[in-house]
Amino acid sequence: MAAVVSGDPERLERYTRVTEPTIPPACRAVNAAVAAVAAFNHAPNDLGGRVPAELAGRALGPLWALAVLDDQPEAFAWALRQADSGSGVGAVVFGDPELFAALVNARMANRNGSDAELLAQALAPCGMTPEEAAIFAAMLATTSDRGCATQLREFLFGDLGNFWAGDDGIGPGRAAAALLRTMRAPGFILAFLTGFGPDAPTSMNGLLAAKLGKVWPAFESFRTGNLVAGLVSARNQSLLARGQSLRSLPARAGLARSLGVVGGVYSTASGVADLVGQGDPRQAFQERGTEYAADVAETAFSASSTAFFVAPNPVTAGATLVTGAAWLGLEAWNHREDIARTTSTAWRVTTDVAGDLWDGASDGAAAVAGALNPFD
Amino acid sequence: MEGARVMEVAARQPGPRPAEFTFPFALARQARAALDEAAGRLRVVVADHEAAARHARVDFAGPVREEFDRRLGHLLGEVHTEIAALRAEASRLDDLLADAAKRRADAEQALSRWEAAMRALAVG
Repeated sequence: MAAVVSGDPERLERYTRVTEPTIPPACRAVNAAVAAVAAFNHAPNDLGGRVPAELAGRALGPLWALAVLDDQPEAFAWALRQADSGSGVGAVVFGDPELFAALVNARMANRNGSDAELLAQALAPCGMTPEEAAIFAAMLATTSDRGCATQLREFLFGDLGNFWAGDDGIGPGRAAAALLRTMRAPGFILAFLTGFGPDAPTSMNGLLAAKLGKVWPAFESFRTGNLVAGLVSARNQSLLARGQSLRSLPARAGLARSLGVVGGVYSTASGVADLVGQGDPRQAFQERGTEYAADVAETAFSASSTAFFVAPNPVTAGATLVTGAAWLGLEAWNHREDIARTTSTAWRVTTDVAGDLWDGASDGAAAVAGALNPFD
Repeated sequence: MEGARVMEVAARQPGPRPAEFTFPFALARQARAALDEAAGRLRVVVADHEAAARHARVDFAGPVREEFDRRLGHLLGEVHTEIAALRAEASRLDDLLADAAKRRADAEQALSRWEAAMRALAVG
């Protein structure tokens, strides 16, 4: 069974907080004893009795060693917090002792370093290049733990947004979906360049990928018959905890990439079919203008993101961003009236609601509920 | 007759003046107090570390805890050893001070006797 580390960060931090201040007064007292003994030993003395000169100073050795040891629990706590699911209460379990030790050593070596710096230091010896470690550390530093609520929100606004943006959907939905998908592009570019796919925001299958990233270590442990480690893995929900089993990352990234490729191929194929169905491109552009251009940009975005999934490199990454930005711009332009109308409605509703709230809370709440419901 | 008197005076002569006893009593007491203070501080260190470790051990498990406990136990054991050594030395200083006080009293008595003898000699 793989050794795991568990501990309550609060308690461990308290250890360091309590014990650290006890060392300096003890050192001062020992130094004073050394000085007093030396003074006594050097004074004229007919009795000849002397205190062994090294006696008092000997105590400094274990005190200095204790001072170093006292820092460790705080470093343990810091490392454990990297695996914390965000609850901030109770024990945290860390399943990779090697990574844990790397984090602790980094913290011990530089207690004033920022989280990003320390993570970069700790991850570099784990087989990452310093550049990769820096990118990953930057991701960790800027991406907080994605709790269930966040994932649900992403699912609603990202995945369901695509349905909303469909043929039967509402105009602004397409622009919103384009915005969301384009904004997520840097996420999966970073994710796949660094091999941490399931732990980063990933495409419109974000919920699936995130769930996969959470479940995969557990599945892997269950598969090898290690139930406890599986449960431990499932409990670890932070980015780093999910990334702690570095050996399993390529497999997970590969699976997520495969899903992305399948989805990308389907999107590209359906986009191409749609474009072909619209006939001669020149005629279609003359008839539909920027709407046709948006369809082309969307298909190009699907194709370039598929290419990126297949071969992640700066060229495909750049193509994904460029086509995504073009698609977003065209969708926003095509639906500018809807967007303006929605915006003015929202403003009107807001001001109405403010007035209603001023007059009476219950009437205001009803106005909000009615006005903000897009299906109303 | 004169020879007999010389012999008598020589017999009453108290001899050379006894040397004063020299011992750094104040420094010894300061050293003893400093050793005591150091031992006391070390005891606080041990007590605080043991209490903090008991609190931190709740939910703390795994090889890291085992290694930490082993190291902490070893170091606190060393501190205990030093406390015992400091206390032993403080106790030895106590004995030394007592011995020195006795030696000083003896020396003072010898000096008093010598001074009395010298006075008697001068009167005679």
